[in-house]
Amino acid sequence: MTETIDLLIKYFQGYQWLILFAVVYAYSIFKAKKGGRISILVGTVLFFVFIYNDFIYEWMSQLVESGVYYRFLWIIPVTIWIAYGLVMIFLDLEKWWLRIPFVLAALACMFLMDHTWLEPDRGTWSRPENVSLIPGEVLDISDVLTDEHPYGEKIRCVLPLGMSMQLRCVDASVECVIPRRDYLKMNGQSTRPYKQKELAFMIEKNERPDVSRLKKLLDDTETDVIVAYSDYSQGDYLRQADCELIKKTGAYEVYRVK
Amino acid sequence: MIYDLVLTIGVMLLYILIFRLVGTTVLTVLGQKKLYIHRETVGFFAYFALFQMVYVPMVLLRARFHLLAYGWILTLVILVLLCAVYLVTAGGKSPFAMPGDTVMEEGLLGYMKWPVVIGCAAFVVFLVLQQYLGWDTAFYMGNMNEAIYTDTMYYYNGNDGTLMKSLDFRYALSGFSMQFAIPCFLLEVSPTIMCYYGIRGLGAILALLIVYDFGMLLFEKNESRAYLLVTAFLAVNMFFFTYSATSLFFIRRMNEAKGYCANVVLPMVALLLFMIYKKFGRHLWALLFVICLGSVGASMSSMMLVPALLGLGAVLLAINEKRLRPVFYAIVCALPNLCYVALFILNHEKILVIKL
Repeated sequence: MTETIDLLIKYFQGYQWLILFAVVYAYSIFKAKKGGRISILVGTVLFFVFIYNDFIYEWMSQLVESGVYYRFLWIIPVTIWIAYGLVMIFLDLEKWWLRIPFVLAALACMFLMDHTWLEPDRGTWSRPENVSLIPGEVLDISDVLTDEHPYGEKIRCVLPLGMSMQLRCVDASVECVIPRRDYLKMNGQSTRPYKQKELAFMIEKNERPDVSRLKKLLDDTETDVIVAYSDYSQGDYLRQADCELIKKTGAYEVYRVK
Repeated sequence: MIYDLVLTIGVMLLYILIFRLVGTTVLTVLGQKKLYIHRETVGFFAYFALFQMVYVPMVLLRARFHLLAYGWILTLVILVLLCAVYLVTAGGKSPFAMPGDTVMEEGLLGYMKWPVVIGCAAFVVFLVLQQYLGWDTAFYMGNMNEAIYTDTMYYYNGNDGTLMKSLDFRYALSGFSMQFAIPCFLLEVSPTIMCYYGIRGLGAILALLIVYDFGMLLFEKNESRAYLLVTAFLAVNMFFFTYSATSLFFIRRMNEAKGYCANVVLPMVALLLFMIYKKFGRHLWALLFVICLGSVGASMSSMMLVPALLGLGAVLLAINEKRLRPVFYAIVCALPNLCYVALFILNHEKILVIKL
C-alpha cells in the first residue's frame, strides 16, 4: 500500500487535514444511527477493497498514467463531509456562547494548518492588469504576430515557457516550435526525449549554439518568429543569424526570421 | 474586452435559464416535480447528454466545427421549444418553482439566506479573478481557440498548435470545450474570457447549488442548516490548499473539465446515490442514468470515476437493502460511461485510430 498511502498524504499535503477529516469521520460514525453507522463503515471497507489499493493503482497507471490516480480520491466528498461535520458540531453545541468560540477556533485551526488560499504567495488573485487576465505585453505581441501572416495561416514561433502558454490562450495562429514536453523535461517533469533541445535551452536558459548551427535549426524548423527574454540581451546574436527586431516590450523582444 | 465580458455573463445567464428549463422538463417527465434538487444542476447533465449525442458522431466523422455550432443551435432551438410546449401542456403548479415544504430555524440562523447568497456571489467573483494559468488550462483555451480559428475539432494540439497525427480520444470524446467554444464562435467572444469568467463562474454556481441540495437532504429540508453547510463548505475550500484536492480545482481550475468532474459531476452522482439510500424520491435511478449520460460531456475523467462511484454506492445499497437490484441498476446507469471507456481503450491500444 505504500504508493497509495503516499498519494493520500500528498492529497492532504501533510497530516493536518487528514487528522481533521479523521475527526469528522469519527464524529459522523458516533452521531449516526445504527444503520447509517454500518453503512459508513462498510462503505469505507468497500472503498479500500475496490478502489483505493495498489492493484487498481497499477492498472490505472498502465491504462492511462499513474499521475491521474489521485482523482479517485475525489469519490469521497471530503470537503462536503468536513463541512457537514463542522456544522453538526456547531448545531450540537446549542448555546451561542459555545458556538462562537467554536467557529473562531475552527477558523483559527484551519488557518494555522498553513494550507490557506488567503496567503498572497499561494493565491493568484492579485489585481488583474486587464479584463482578459492575460498580461498586456502578451496581447501586444499577439497583435504584432497577427500582422506577420495572413488570417487562417499558422506562424511558427520559438517562445519562452510562460509566453508559450499565455500566447496560445489568445492566439491560435501561433504554432510553437518547442513542444510542451521539452519545457517539462527541462524542469524535470518529463522522461520523454527532447524534440528541440538546443532551441529550448537557447530561449529559456540563454545557452547559445553557434550562429551557423542556430541558422540551420531555424531553417529546419521553419521558424518565422523568435520571442526572446530582454534580460538575456540576445539581440546581436540573433541579428547575426539573420533575425530582425520587430517589437520590444518590457520583458520580451520579438524577432522576425528572414 | 468589456464587450466580451458582458456577452459572456449574458451567455452564462442564458445557459442557466436553459438548464432550468431542461431540468424542469426532465423532472416533470420522471414525475419528480416534488424532488428537492435544483433544476439547473439536473438540466446541466441532461443538456450535456443531448449535446454528446450530436457532438460525438461529428467529432468521430471529423466534421468541421461550424457544422457542430450551427447543428447544435438548431437542435437547441428545437429542444427549448419542445420543453416549453411540454411544460405548458403538462399543466399543474408552476414547474419552475422548487418545492415549498421547507423549514427555517428560529433566531439568528433564520436570517442566513441573504448573507450566504451575497457571500457566495462574492466568492464567485473572487474565484473568477484567479489569474492561474497552467499547462492544462492553456490546453483547454488552446483547443477552443483552435476550433474557432481552424474550423476543426481536436486536429491541433491545444498547447503548441501543431497538427495531430490522429484524433486523441482522451480529450476528443468529451464535448466540454467545444460546447463553450460555440457561443464564442457565434458571438465572437474571446475564449479566454469565456474560460476565465464564464466556465469558472458557471461551474462554481452549479457546485454550490449541489452542496445546498446536499444540505437540504442531510438536514431534512431545513434551509437554515443547508445555508450553514454552504458557508462551512466555502470556508473549508478557502483553507484547504493542497495540490490535488477538489478545492484546488474549485478555486483555481474550475475552468477545466477536471474542475467540473471534482466539484459538479461526482458530488451530483453522490447526491443522487444518497437520495436513493434515503428513499427520497421515485424513479431516482432513471434520473441517475440521465446524470451519467451527461457526465462524460462535462469531463472525460467521469468515464472512469462515475462508474467507480456508482459501483461503490450500488454495492453499499445492495448490502443495505439485502437484494441485488441496485447493482443491476448501477450497471445500467454506468453503461454510457463504459461505452466511452471501451472507445478510449480501443484508441489507446491503437485498434480504433482516426487519422487526421
